[in-house]
Amino acid sequence: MNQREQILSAVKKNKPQSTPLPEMKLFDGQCDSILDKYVESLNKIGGTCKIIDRTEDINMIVKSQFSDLGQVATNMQEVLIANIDLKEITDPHQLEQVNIAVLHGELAVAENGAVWLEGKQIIHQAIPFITQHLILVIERENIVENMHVAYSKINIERPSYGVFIAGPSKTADIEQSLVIGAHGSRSLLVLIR
Amino acid sequence: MISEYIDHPKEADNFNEDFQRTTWHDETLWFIREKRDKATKSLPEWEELRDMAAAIKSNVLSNLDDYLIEFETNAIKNGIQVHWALNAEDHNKIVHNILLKHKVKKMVKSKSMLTEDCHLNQYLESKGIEVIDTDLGERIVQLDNQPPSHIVLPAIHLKKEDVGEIFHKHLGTEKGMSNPQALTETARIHLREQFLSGGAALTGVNFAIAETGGIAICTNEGNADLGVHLAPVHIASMGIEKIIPKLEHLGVFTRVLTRSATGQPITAFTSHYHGPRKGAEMHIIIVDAGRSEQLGREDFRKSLNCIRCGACMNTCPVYRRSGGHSYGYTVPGPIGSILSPGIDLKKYSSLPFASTLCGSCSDVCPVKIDIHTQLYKWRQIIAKEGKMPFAKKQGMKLMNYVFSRPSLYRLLGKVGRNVLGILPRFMMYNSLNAWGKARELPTPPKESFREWYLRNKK
Repeated sequence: MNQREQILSAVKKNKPQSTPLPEMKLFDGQCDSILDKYVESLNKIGGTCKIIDRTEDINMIVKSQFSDLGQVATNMQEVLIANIDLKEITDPHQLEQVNIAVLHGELAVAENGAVWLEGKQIIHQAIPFITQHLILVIERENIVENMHVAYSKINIERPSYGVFIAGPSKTADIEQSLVIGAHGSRSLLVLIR
Repeated sequence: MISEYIDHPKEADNFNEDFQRTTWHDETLWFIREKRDKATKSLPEWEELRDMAAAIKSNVLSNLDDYLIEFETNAIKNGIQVHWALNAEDHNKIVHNILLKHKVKKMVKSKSMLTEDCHLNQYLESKGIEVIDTDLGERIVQLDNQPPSHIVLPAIHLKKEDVGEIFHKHLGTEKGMSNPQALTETARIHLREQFLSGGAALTGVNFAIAETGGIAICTNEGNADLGVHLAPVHIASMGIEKIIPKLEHLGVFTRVLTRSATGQPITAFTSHYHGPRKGAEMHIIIVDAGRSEQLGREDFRKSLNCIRCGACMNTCPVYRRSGGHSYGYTVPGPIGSILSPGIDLKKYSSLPFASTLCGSCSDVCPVKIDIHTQLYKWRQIIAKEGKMPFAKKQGMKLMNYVFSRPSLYRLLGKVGRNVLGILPRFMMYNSLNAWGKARELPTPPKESFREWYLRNKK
């Protein structure tokens, strides 16, 4: 018997009598305003948020927040301040100097502030992590109440990569002092349209 | 198997030598426990979620072979190469072979208790491959050549001044630098270089989804992702118990995991890998290493529910005052004390006694493992197999002798009540009486309950 068969046969021999899976629930309908709850959650996890009227405003907002833009990457046509074409990049190591990434998120979660990004949409999986600052753009109607609802809406194409991003990267590994900006982005701004 | 005995009480004594530091350790972990309470109490459905999580895990364990096959089939469809390892040795060899094939000289690694348990770093280093732990806490202890002392907070036993000293020695920072912000920035710059030059990235696995053949990984720092998205090869190591049946079950587990661990509503990054990125390779190593055996132990199989949140450590009065290293096992604290005897009963026989059996660990466990009951059951086995320490064994024998002789018991009680009040201090507070350490004995009562009862029963 090879390792696979040995493990599977030991498991089969030792496993207990079958118990059923529990029925899943969505636990939704608990909050009055999903948008308010989202903003509250995002602020708690170190992110900031702005509600925008027109998509074009993104350019102005980013320019007003960063005196020196540096390299800006995006997967959105409306972001005119971008100066890097993600489609032209073949090796993710070339993204090393990206300062700001403006990415469109598919879905957001009110209970924890998370935004769902899909690998295919963001072109390079490394981009939300390697950038110094991250700006995510979501639609108001794509905010769901909690993780149960979120997973019921996500369609995992395969093969694929997808990630929930909740706030800037952080660590409390030194004496439990919270430090924002561990390895990934140093800041997160979510723009809701 | 050659094993050295882990003497938890002795190691705990060493940890307690620095009283202020122990108090700080205790309070810091209790603070995290309080954050956990706040986070869980904000959800009216919390207890229902725990029930669901436990029921899903119970279903997984009872159908584990089928789920493993389903997971493997779907993972292969996603373009992932799946390997199986019976033990640590198998696992390390598989990793080494993958690295050899790609001529990897440096591997970046995110947090994985499994590879810690396999001593993978030491193995690969002996083969000339550099391994860089990229979680900040793990990097700190790796630089200082120590094991992690907590599964979620690997460097929780160190003060910022210690970290400053370690960075001064290994990363060339200014001596005396102890500002966490500045130290983290140093590590960020240092580790970015490592991410950019890693030939392969190894990660752990939080959840492996049978239905979709993918894995979910949760981090706050983003280190798993940075490593994987830059390196040409991704290796993910998982224990067989990491399986969950369906994607929708992640709804339950992502909600309970981080709330239990640190009181956050979710980790900053929850990544779902369903195959390699274009031009890269992805491997998953499924490891047994004693787990299938634990599955066969009726009283202890539920320990395989564990999702490694660390809540039982943060709440445990013994862990908080003895530190993770005193357990001598990769997973310390209450959960480690019920997992380790199954791996090596003799070596870890003091660990099930490192508990007051207060039950707080079971109360906070998000997957409802009956930890304190299992600790008690391991004690029974250890006593039966004669693996108890000599003093404890003799003490038990003496107690048994006294308790089975009511008149002797009564006599000794009377002597105690009369003598304890007049004995000089040195006779009561000495090295023979562990209970007298840092504790005053109560004033003995004038009479026993029995005497009082007999006097008042009319």
